[in-house]
Amino acid sequence: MWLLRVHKRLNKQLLIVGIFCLTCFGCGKEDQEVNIYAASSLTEAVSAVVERYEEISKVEAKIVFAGSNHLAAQLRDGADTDVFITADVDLVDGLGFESILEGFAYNSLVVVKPVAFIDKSFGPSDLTSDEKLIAICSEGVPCGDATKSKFGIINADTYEMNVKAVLTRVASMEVDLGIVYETDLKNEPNVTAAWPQEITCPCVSYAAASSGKKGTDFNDFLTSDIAKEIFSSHGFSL
Amino acid sequence: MNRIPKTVVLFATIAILFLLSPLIGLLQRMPWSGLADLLGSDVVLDAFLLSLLVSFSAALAVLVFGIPIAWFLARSNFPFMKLLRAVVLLPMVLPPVVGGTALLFAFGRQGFLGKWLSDWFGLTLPFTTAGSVVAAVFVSMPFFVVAVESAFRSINEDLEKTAETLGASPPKIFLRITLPRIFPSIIAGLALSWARALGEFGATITFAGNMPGETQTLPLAIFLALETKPEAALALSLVMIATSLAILIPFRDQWLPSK
Amino acid sequence: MLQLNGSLDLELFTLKVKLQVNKNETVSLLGPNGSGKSTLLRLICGLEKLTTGSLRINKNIVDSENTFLHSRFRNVGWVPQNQMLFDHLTVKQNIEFSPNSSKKEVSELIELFDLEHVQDKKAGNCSGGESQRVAITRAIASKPQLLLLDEPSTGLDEKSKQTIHRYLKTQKRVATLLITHDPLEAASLSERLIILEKGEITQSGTPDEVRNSPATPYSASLVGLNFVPALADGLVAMTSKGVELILSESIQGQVNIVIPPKSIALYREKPIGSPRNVLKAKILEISHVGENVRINLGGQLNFMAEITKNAFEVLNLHKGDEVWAAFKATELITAPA
Repeated sequence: MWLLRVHKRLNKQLLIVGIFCLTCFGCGKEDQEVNIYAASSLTEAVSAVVERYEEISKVEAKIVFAGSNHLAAQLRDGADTDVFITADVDLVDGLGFESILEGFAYNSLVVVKPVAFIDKSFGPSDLTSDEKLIAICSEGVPCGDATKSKFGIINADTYEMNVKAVLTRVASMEVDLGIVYETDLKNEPNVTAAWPQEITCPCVSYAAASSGKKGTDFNDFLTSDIAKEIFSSHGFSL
Repeated sequence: MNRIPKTVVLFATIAILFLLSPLIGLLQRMPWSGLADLLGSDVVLDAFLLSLLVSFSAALAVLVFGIPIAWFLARSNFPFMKLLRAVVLLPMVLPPVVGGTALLFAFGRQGFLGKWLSDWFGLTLPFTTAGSVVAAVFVSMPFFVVAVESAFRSINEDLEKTAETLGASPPKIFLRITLPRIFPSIIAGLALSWARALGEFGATITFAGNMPGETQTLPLAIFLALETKPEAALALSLVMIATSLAILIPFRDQWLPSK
Repeated sequence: MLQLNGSLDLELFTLKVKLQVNKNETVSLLGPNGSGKSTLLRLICGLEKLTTGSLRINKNIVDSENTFLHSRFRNVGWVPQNQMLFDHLTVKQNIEFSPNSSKKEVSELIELFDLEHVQDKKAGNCSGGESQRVAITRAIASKPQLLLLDEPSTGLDEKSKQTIHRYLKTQKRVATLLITHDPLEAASLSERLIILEKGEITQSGTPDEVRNSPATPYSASLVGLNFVPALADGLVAMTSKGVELILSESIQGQVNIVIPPKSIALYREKPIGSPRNVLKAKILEISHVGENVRINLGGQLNFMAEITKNAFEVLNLHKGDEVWAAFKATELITAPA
């Protein structure tokens, strides 16, 4: 008898706690957030774009930066996001996004050296010689495929999983040369162009896939003047 | 026949099912039809052979250097023994990527030892197979040392002292008295550290880099394949599991050093 | 030959010893538990270092203030209390372990110590008696200059004990120092006894000397077991003073007899018609020990009886009284000398 009464009291309390939880964590916040997955090469630029977006639209954003392939793999395995910005549009296939915005920004590839090697000179022939330590992106990831298109076969010593890893290798002086994005060259003070180079394609073309109203709203913002200015100031081509 | 309590059987079953389920999931997704082609590809062969080379080389290094370390830790009167032991066991708890980064700070081109090696001997460790071995040794050494140190401690020192009074030389005492008694622990420790070396990822990719044929061991190949070619990742995983089982099953009786 | 004159600081006390053991001599070391006997052996082996003084083996200084010869080079045969056999090696491999051992002598020793049938057995599988024999044989096979035995017969079966004793009595070539708790064994095997208490030698001398004038209560307790050397011929043994003792088992030759004090019954009048041993004696000393009374008796035979307080009061005994002491033949413990 006593047990039943305790049971009832417990039930009531659990119910109250449950509703409380739902309101705090369940329905409330999620409604207001836009989830974004973006390629790591866009880290600085997209962060800046999102900041402006949050100010203007009053919508909070949650961003995850990683290699495009890594993000695609997670989405394949069941992760969920409103916006997926990738350096390889093919990765969007089969992920169930409603609309795709292609080519809203481009990133060219450039050969860099550590800034401490400013007095050392390098040339295109070093890319195929055995003597220098070279880091490039691995084939299969967007920057790796683009590297192959633009530079052909390179005598590399390590194939990194994403472009930031290549950048770190050069910046820490573990390697002599690395092939990274134009934007990385602009934003990383510890590396500099290995020799005078043109900003040309073949290059990486960014696509933004979206689902739902929150996603579409953000995608629209990506093509706005404000966003365009941010991308171009970070070194992307439009 | 030992009667095992029902509760124990229950918990053990749950635990074993838990450990088996990822394996079952893997086997279930395996592209059995195209497997032969995948297994024969260069990527898989290179990674497999390299993993064998690196893991066995690491195991050898661990054997040669681990026994002296274990001996010292077990028998010496060094004043800061607790600190020393903590340092030796550190790689076991350190996140492998942190370990790899630390190895770069020591042996990288700009590292305090790496610089000296490069200037004086023209040797660079990063981006070489030797570098992969170094990374593997770094993370797997503590497992061996733990097993062997406890074996050293379990020997009554009077046994060796008695051998001394009989006039035996130190090498003879080590080979005929000490070694036979710690041998089971050496085998168990070696199997454990070999397995750790085989599966090493974080320190390897950070310190030695990723290059097929040079430093792309099976774990690195799998990680890359997961993002670029998932079926290859499954095939590689199968190779890894088969390799591990092939080495570990014969050692199953040696897991516990018993007499 | 062993010459030691020095001290070793231990946790609870300081071991301070001056002793000498000559070639062909066997010296027994007795003392209460924790008195430092085993440590003394370890010191001689080279497993401990003297704090002061020096230790010589065959005239060579092996341990002094500025010398220390490692145990490996001292050539001392040490048989520790728990044998320390190499369990994973066979009996034969254990015995021939020392580089000094010779194949011929090893086979001879195996035969001598009755180990032929176990020589290929793993030492870890040996029984207590076998293990002890193996340990001693192993030490002897190393051709030592000195033999140190730590309680060689404790807890052994009679046969193993006999084998060991037989060797120690017939094969005396090397100076031997043996630790024992059994005064009978000590008297039987050695020419000299040394009693060590709390790290110091409290008495040193022949078994007779110790028996006749024990210097400390511990010595007295050893003596208190009533050693009587005698010549036995069948069931009768005669002491040097002509006292006849009746035994329960037939034996020939020199023997040591122990009369347990508690088995002695005292009478005012000579008890008639019993098959026991009956001796006339005079009370020399009376002392109370717990619930019992110890009576030191003298006469043809010096011995000690321990009786209950009750019995003591009933008999109304005093120092100087003449009494009759009686004890059964079956209570006697006899061993060949």
